[in-house]
Amino acid sequence: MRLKLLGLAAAVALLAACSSDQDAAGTGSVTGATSATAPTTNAGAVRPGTRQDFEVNVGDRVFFGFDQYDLSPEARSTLDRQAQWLNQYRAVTIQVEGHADERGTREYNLALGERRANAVKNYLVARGVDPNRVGVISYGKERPAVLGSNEAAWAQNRRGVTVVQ
Amino acid sequence: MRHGLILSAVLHVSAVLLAVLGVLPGPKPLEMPVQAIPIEVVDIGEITNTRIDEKPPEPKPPAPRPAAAAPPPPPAAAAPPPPPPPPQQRAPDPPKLAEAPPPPRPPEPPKAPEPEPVPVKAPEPPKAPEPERKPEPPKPPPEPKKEQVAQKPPEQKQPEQKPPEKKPEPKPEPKKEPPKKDPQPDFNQLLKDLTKKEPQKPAPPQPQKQTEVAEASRTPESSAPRLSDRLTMSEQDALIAQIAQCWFIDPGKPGISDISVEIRVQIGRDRTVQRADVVDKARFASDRVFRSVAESAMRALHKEECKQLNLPQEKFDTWRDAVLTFNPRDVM
Amino acid sequence: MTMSAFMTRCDRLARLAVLALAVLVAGAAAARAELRVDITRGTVQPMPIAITDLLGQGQSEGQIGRDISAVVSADLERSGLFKPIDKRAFIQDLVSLQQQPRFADWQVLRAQALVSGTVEPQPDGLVRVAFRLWDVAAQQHLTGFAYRIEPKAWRRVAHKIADQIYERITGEKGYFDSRVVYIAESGPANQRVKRLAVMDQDGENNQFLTDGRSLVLTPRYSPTTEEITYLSFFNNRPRVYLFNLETGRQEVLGDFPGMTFAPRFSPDGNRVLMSMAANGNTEIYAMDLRTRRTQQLTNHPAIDTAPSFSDDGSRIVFESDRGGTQQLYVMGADGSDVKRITFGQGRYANPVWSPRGDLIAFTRLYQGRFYIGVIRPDGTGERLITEAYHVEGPTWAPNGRVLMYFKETPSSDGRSRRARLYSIDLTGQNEREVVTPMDASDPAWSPLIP
Repeated sequence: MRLKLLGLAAAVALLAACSSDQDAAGTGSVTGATSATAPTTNAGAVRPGTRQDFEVNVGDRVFFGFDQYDLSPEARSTLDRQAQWLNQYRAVTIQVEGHADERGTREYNLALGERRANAVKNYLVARGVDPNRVGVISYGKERPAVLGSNEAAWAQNRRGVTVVQ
Repeated sequence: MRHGLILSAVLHVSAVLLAVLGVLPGPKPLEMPVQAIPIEVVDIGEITNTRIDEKPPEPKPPAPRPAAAAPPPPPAAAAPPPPPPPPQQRAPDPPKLAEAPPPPRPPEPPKAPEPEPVPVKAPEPPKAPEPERKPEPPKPPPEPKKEQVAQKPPEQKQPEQKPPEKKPEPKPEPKKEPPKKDPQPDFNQLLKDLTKKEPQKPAPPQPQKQTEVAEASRTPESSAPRLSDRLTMSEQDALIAQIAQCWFIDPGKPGISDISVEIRVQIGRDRTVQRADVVDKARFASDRVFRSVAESAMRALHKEECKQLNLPQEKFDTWRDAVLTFNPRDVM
Repeated sequence: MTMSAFMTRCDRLARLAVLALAVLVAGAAAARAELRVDITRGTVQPMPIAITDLLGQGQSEGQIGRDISAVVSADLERSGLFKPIDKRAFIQDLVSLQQQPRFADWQVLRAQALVSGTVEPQPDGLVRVAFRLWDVAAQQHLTGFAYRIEPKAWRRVAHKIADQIYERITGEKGYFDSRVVYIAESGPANQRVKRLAVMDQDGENNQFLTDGRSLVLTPRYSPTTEEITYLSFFNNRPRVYLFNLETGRQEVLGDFPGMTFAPRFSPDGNRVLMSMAANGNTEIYAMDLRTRRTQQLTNHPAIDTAPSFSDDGSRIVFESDRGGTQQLYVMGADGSDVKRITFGQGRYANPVWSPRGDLIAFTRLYQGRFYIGVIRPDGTGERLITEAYHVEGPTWAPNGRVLMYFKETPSSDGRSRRARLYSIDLTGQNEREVVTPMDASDPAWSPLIP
């Protein structure tokens, strides 16, 4: 705490230090940060039934068209694998995150993300996954997976991510 | 720069406090010292020893005064103004009355107690001074309402002007409902609208037309001598152009295009305004927006560029008494 | 031309006597009548105003007087309706000004209004701040007030003075003694840290209300300015919360099975509107804060969200994509009588009813750009007043005259962005950045502080 205090005091003197100081004072932990980061390349170390296993060997996300929430054939294929995996590891619970790209207003995107997350959940449930194991949450456009304001980035941000809890 | 520094310092200090106190989901005290300080509105009468010679020490609110007449004949100012309507909106208003400059005003005891709420989120308990907190909350909501009532009505009207106005926008989507919105002559081009790119200046046409008409009528038949007793359209246009330059208007004022202020003026032989009075004194006293438009018109007549009016000297008898009607509809 | 002269002429022209007489009478009457002229045009310019330093008796009072004048001046200037005159041009000294303005000295500067005043120490440690507003041309006293305050409260008093001046001159209530709650942002775009923050309307007195551990969005001030409602992702459960500014207490509003978001207070402060998303459908609900009972207002498989009460609380404007794309709809406060009011291309979102009642501000998306616009509640008179790659979330000043919103500008490499608050007059003029210590979004203006 003292150190933090000192650091802040120093920051006061440095007007420009605002943003870094923010990080210091504001606890780096971010609520529900998408877990999609840090993909593990070391497949050999992956233990079956874990989040890593799911992300690496199953695929944790599906993508949507602009302002859409229907599932594409590719998405269904991914979800089929997810359902299979989930039916294998029945103790696992998941939360499906719905995300939108930046080209929408904040609140509408929250609603849209919820639609997407539910589309994923409903598909998994239809494939035999117990609905009680599936939670949903929408982040709207608050947690982009890819930075940038171009079609490539937007396409990757319009997504439904299945997070193993 | 300095403000920035102070601000930054404040921010950082708060950040430190947040960190130190371990704030968080739990209730955290915010410090907003400023807000917690009660502001007491006191009688302004005592505020200074100013003596305003021109106007008698009317203890009443200043506002009422129907646009004081032109500087020369201060008499107008004497008009017993009714109480200023606008003031009574927010809490502190009451004290306003005191503002009369009259030194006679006794000490501040009068409104002193004004509980000027300053409730605000002062997390800090030190609100000591003012005991009555209750009164505060009630005020906020009502205010906005009042205003609107008065302002709303205006905008819908306005006939003229091209109707569609929507055209700039991409044609309405297929949806069958073509907004049949009435031809809202939407207000002025003074209002920015990114949807309409085409610049269309409305103003010019009119004056020209008028001029033409004027000349037409003036030259031929109207050559009769009697007409010299009136101002020609051209002469009127010159006067209008002059005053329009002096008149500062605010196109964002609610209902502005529907407000029309008549001002009766007496003009001297030297073509300067000797006296000016707002005709509708009742509305001047009760309608704040009307009053502000009226005052802006009065100010226009006081401006240097409008001190001496563009009027034909020889027609003194035709313009010594005039009624100028100020209505910014063409601007809109 | 006299009457008798006319008469003689008439005599000579006997045959036209009758006609001439008629003309004559008419002419004479006209000559006696008033000239009537319609002034239908004017000039759009800010009013030149001379704001002098309030005269302080001592060192510290003098400083307070200068500080107050600077803030009053900045407030009025920022409104776009006033143009403060450079103090260095002032002729009359402050001391004699307190006795009586020499109006000629101010007319020379072309000032139309003049502000004078004093700051005097009081025996109880307070100071008395008094000001007067003068009409220079009419040489008339327009208004004046005095406040007894603790010296450190000078800034609020400055805003109050600016409000009084604004109100007296424009006829509309001011908006300077108000605050803004917004979301302070920091960190990378994919891990943005967002915190609730409040500040004075001019960006001063910035203060954080939350620490950034939980994602928070879309705050709104209560009509009493004592509470803020907002969306928090606390514990990964996005729900609408209420934050009591006096106690610092935060509580969840309602017990909904799904995400609740887009909260808005009713004008009387007794209800909060919010949306709930569950099973892929989003509807608007109203919660009575006294009984905590909720009422569902919309019932449609589309996304219905972003509600906003009309100034009188009788109607609600909201956005819905029930027509295929996001458009604006107006309904009764009980959810009845839904009527679509926008039909333009693109999408219309987060409508906000003006406290003045005459307009609804909104965000519009069209061909990859965002716009802020206004439209009348009946759907007429749409105007788009600003645009950018991304502008969003308009909020009205308490007097319904100025809008604030946020604008995001991507960096050249697209890897980051700058988010800032801006204000703009409803005429579309006078767009300005509202300076914040860090990135900012989702501004919401408070009512005038009671």
